[in-house]
Amino acid sequence: MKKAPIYYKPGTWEPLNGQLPDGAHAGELDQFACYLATQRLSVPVDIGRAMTSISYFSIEYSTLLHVPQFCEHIALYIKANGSGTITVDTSDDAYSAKVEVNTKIDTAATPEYENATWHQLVMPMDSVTVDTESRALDVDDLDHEHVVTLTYTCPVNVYVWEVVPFFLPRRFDTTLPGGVATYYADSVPVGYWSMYDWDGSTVSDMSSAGNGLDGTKASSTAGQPYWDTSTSVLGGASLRFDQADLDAVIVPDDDVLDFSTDDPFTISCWIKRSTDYSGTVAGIVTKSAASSGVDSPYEGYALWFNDFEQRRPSFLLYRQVSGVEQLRVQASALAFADSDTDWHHICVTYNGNSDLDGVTMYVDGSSVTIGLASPDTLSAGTDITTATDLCFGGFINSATTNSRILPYAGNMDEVAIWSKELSADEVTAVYNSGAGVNLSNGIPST
Amino acid sequence: MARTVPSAFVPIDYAETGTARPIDDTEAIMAANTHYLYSAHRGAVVRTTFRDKDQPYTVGFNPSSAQVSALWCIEPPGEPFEQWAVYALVENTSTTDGASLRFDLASDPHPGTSTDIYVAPNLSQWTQVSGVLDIDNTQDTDTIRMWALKGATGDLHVHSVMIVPRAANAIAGSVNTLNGWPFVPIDDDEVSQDAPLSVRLRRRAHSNMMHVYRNRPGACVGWSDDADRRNEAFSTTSSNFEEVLRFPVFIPKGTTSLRWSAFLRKTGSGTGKMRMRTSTMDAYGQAAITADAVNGWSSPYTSNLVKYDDVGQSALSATTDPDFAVTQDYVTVELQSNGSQTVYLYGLCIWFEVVEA
Repeated sequence: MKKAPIYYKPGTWEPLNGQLPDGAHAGELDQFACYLATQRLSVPVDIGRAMTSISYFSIEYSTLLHVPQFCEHIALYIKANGSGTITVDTSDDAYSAKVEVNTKIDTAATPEYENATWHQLVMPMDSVTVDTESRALDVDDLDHEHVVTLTYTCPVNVYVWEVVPFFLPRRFDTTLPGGVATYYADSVPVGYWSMYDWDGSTVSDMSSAGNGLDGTKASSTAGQPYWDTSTSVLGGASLRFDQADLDAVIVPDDDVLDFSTDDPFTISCWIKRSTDYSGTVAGIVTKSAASSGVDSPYEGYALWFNDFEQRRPSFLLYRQVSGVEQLRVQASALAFADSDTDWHHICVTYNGNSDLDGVTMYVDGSSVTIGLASPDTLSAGTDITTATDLCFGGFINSATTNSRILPYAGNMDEVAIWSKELSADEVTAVYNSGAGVNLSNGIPST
Repeated sequence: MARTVPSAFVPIDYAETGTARPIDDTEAIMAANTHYLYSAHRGAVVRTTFRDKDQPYTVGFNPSSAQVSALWCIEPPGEPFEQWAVYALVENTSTTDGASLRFDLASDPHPGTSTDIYVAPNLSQWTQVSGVLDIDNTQDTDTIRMWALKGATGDLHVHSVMIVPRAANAIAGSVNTLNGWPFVPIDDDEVSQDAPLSVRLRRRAHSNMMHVYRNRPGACVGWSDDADRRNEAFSTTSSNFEEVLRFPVFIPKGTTSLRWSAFLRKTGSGTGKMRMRTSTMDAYGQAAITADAVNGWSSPYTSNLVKYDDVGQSALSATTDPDFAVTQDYVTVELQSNGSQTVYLYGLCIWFEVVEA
């Protein structure tokens, strides 16, 4: 399991003015210190048109970077034109990232600064970390220096004019750190995908349950779904799903994800709808094949939109052997305006009784009225476990290639699954007044 | 009195600072964290990557004399920093002769407080070397110069230079009142279990953090062209202002102006100018900053090269959104000549003005 992040404080700090300093404000002093330590460092940009004259062969180009404590990622804004892929490597554990440049050069012999465009990539950095248990330090040296080399490999006819590095603030959360906060009993999710990764193709399972349910991005276009650092619920990034490219995240099948009709379980996620949808029902979090041609028996569960505008959250328990057996539930009213592109929390709990009254659907922390979308034909105790992989952003349409259909359009963040029915209080805590909450160690109760 | 200066910032569990929590070593950690921020929280002031046309970059002329190959006009950081840490990526193509990379201050030129970094023979490209150079904190601005001396054979290549104040491993017990908000170190016995952090000491911790907040916004440009390839980067012959550089700048919370320095030169007769502005200045209709280039060139980077260190000049204005930790602005640099001669920008450093608080 990837180590859960240490959460500090909100991303902004407000002056204390004259409020100091009774006991209540000791925490704000600490908050101020954390803000200074994690956010307040600038880094000089690379200017000088370093690679602009190289047009006949690819080159490497190296530069130094002084990385502060706590920095785990750096964003590079690269002003470039031409056509090709710039690769950036760091001396930190050989991290690597790439960015595609495809901006026309009017005259190859004289590349024009004016038509160069900005490109962005995010690089991991080895962070100087602190073990909160022992407070032992893991530092490169006692001079606090962490100097790395960034090496750019620039292909033929790609011109780089400037590179602006920016230390990304450490991912913040208002959650109390693990070991200090108290949690609801047995509230550690079996899988928790906080979209913490920010780069690469892996979508890490951050749950302290330790099931190792890491997912992998899948798309017909390389690199998608995109890590979107411009918007998120927590952690500084979400995943943006492009419907046309069938973007998805695939989590390999695991026994802990197999729920039958008499097993209580809960699915929770945050979504940010795109209005650029193509008019199809859409899978959000599904572990169910798309048809009997994909998986036999054809069965599973799904949280999905049962409308063509991604406005009606729905829940499905399904089995098709000799006939259809299903519990198909949907919100009675459309949950979102068509133009709504805000972040929303959707949570469905199921108590294992195979009936409509065993399902509760929450939108933004409040339960919503639900109804059957078709007659309830599911018998208690029916086995609906499936070998189909878990999928975020669609339904799997091929058991061998994991191709998808019914794709979702928009952003997704903070996906979690529990092997129990969450209480209303627990769902409220997960929603956290719209701020979300880190679920690695469970659902905080304070 | 002993004062703990930890080698890293130690986050404190938020719940440990609540009103219902007993006072224990948490507050000693908080005090030590202010020491860490004071002694180690700082960014680079110089990051320059040299370049060349279709070949590796080369510096160093003949083996008997060094020359200034690059320079940066910067603002010294003030206490507690006493030394610059200088890092460079280099290559020495000689199989037998060492080379030397020297850094000194224009305020205290070599051989006073310079550092000579030995570059061993047969060193492959992008090898990191480093040295330290004393800081002269009495200067409002100072110029760090790089001198290159290759060996009798081979070439010395310098690819990249970075200069950052070296972290202090100890801090003095004296009060530092740089730009207001005094930093008052906290002795260990003032925060022992028998002497918990009092209201007075909490105020002191807050003042210490405000000191860091005000004085460490950092730098956003630390660039020099190189003497050997000095005509390659930014220049114009245009009689109209030509935009040669425009890049985003991430403005730290509370910062409203950028200070700057530049080195300029012009060939032949007539006038040449550099003009700078930010998007904020554009938006509010403020005048750009204009500086004049000087004519001639006799010795690379040591004469006939005008330096502006913004003394008597305006600062570049920037806007920060009070609701965000950082906001973004753009810096635009333009050059103008007379239509026939050439104006060059040889160096540009921009740093954030002390934060108003």
